[in-house]
This record gives sequence, C-alpha cells and structure tokens, in this order.
Amino acid sequence: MPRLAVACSWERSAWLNCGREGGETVAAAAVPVAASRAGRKRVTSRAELEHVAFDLFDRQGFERTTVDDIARAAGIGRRTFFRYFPSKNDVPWGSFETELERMRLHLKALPPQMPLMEAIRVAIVDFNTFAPEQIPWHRRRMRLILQTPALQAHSTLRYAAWRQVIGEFVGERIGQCPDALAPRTLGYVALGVAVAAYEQWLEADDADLSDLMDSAMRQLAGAFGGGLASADSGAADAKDALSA
Amino acid sequence: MADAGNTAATEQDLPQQAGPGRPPSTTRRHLQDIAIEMFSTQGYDEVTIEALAAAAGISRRTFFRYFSSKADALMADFDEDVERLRAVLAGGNPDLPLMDAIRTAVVEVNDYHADDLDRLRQRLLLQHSNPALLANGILHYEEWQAVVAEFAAGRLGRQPGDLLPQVIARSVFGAAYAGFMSWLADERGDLSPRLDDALRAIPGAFQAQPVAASRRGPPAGL
Repeated sequence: MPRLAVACSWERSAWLNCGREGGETVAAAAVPVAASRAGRKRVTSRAELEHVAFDLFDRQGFERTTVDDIARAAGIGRRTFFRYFPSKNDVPWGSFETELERMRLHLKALPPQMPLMEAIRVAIVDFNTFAPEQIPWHRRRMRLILQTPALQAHSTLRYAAWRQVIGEFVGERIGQCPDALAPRTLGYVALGVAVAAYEQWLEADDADLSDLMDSAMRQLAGAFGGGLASADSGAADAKDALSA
Repeated sequence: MADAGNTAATEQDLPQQAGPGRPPSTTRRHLQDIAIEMFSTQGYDEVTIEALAAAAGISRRTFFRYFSSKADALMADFDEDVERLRAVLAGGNPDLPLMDAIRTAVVEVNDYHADDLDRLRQRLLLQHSNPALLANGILHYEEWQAVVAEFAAGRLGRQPGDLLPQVIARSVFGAAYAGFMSWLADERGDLSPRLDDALRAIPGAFQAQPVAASRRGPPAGL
C-alpha cells in the first residue's frame, strides 16, 4: 500500500536525508565518552531520538524533562539534539511540517469536481493514516500533544499552520482569500472535528484512527445538512439521529 | 475601561458575600477589569495576585473566593457566557432543529455591547501575547464545548462523549472562534452577525460549487 508508506514518512522526514544524518554521525563522534558511559548505542536518526524522548516524557513528565536529559539518554550532545529539533516542544510534533506540505499537495491534486467537503475529508483521512508499526508511537505523540498543558501554547502555532492549509484550499475552491470568514471558519471546523476523532481514538485502544477520522467528517456532513451521499453510513447515521 | 488608579476600592465597596455559592458576577467583572488593565500595562507575568487583590481593595484570600488563579481573572465574562449558553439552550424552543437551536443560542449569547467588545478584544489580545493565558483560556473553552455537547447529546439521545455530540460541539466552537478571530482582525461591525455568518458557513461549504464551474461562461451555442 504505497499510500501508507508515504503517510508514515512523518517518522522519517525528508530532511533527514539531506545530509544531516551524516553531520550527526560526525558530531556524535565527538562525544564517545558520554555515549559509552550511558551504556547504550547513541541515536543516529530523528525517529530514534524522538523515541528516546517519549520514554523520558513518560517516565519523568514532559515539563521535568530537559533537552540535556534527552541528549544524555540518546548518547548525543546538546548541539546535536538541536540539529534534529529546534526545541523540546517540537519533539512531539515530529515531521509535522513535512507532512503538512504533503497534505497541501494532496488537496491540490484532488479532482476539481470532487465536492469541497469531500476533498477535505479525503485529505484529512489520508493525513491521519499510519502504518501499523507507527500506531503505538503515534498514540504516544498525540497523547503528549493533546494532553500536556505546557505544550498547548506551542501547539497553537502548528494548529494554525494546519488550518491555513485547509483555509487556502477552501479559499481557492470558493474564490475567496484564505483569511476570509468562510475559509477561516472551515479551517477551525476541520481541526475541531479532527480533535474530536483523536479524543475518541485515545480513549479506545482498539479503535482505528482512519476510520474514526472518516466517521467524524461524515458526521459533520450529516449534522450540517449533508453534502455527502446519504448512503454514507456516518452521514446517514447523523442525519437519522438529527431528524429523530 | 476602568482606570487602575481609580479602582482601588475599599473592601466595603464590594458587594458583601452572602455565605457560600457563586459570588456576585459584578465583583468578578470588577476584578476582571483590574486584571485586564494590570496585565496589559505591566505584563501578565509581572502582576502578582497580591497586587491584583490590593488594587481591588481586597485580600488575597478574598480574591480566591472569586477566581481559582490569576489567569482565571481574565475569564469572568467568558465563564458567564458559558452559563448563559447553557441557560439559553435549555430554555430554547424544543421544536427548533438541533443545529438551528445551537446557532441561534451562540449568536444570542454573544450579543456583546460596545463596552463588552472592548473587554473582549483586550482579553483575546492578552491571550495571544501570553502562553499561560492562552493555555488557561483553552481550558475554559473546553467548558463551553461541554455545554454544547451535553445539549446535543440530550437531543440526540446519546452520551456527551460520543463522537457525534463531540463533532458538533467542536465544529460549532471552531466556527464561533473563527468568527471571533475574523472580527478581531478587522473590528468592523458587530460580533454576533459575524458568528451567525461563520456558523452558516459550515452548511454553506457542503453546498459549495467549484469556482471553475460557476465561472464557466454561457453554454456554447447561444
């Protein structure tokens, strides 16, 4: 399934492949003493560094974990850490920017005759589809992002970037500026729906994220009058409930 | 806007507490005015609860009768809106379709007057200039969404935590917040029509025709 392979590149972002990995190895070689003292292999990729950080966040809490703690546990220097992430707050977000750009291109490439809200649903479901082996990490990532008060303010910047992608797409489709009321509103609405799906997903260990995301977007369609075929289960379900 | 120099009321000036229960909202609002003024001029991080309380002529202990934190002092109007929203939804016409009931309630509750709009603008600006205030605001927004989810769940015969009530609550809040942000960006006109437009934009988007189709000229052959 090539789509999945692309989707999970959130973990292995393009910028790891532009010479930074090499730079990391050289830089890390400068701190072999710390690495061997820590008794574990020093990390050589962004994903590995992220996993080491997630373990520390789980053990001692996000706020009490410092960049130095993460670097030490990863067997790398502080400066090397900053080659991978600009700040501790950026660690849970992984390669979000890269994935966001992919969603922007995906929306652009969808057929123009596809109804607006259906296009948004398709793009959001794709954006939130991960390979099975990525799912446990993604749960930890989203738990951090949605449930760490100290991250909220930082996250608003990322949310704004996400909404902007939706807003630009809506604006283009309906012939308005991205910051006009309707495109802006649809950005906030889509984000709200995605957060609703994520909250359900984090509550249920066996839930499928893509399915939930799809249902949530279809229920939005049902609740607001329906732009999707009534045969769509989520929309029909919501419509039935709303007319009851 | 209250002048900080004139707000050093004595404790006797404030409405007396009548035992436990919700303190009078006028006092909360008075403290909110002082908080907005002090946070704006001195910076949120520089203002202590002691200083806030002193400016209002009350003790730190009394401050905590009204708000549980310094950041909460900014949210008095919003907290009141949450309770009004709950009341308006509960008292609305049960024959009104669910989404119309929610839209009209949100618009009604946000019928801010000029003075209130000034406070609203200052609150939003403060929140966007300070991470702690923003994070605290988000907690209060959760309450607002919980009110909508409870109402929707009641109408739908579901639990407030179910997906559909949550989708409704979060999308309605998203639209309303977009209305606030849009109003804040240009400050033209009243807030409530903007919220109405934002909430109507959601069903509108489901009807949207691609621009390419509508821009197409008359059919060939004419």
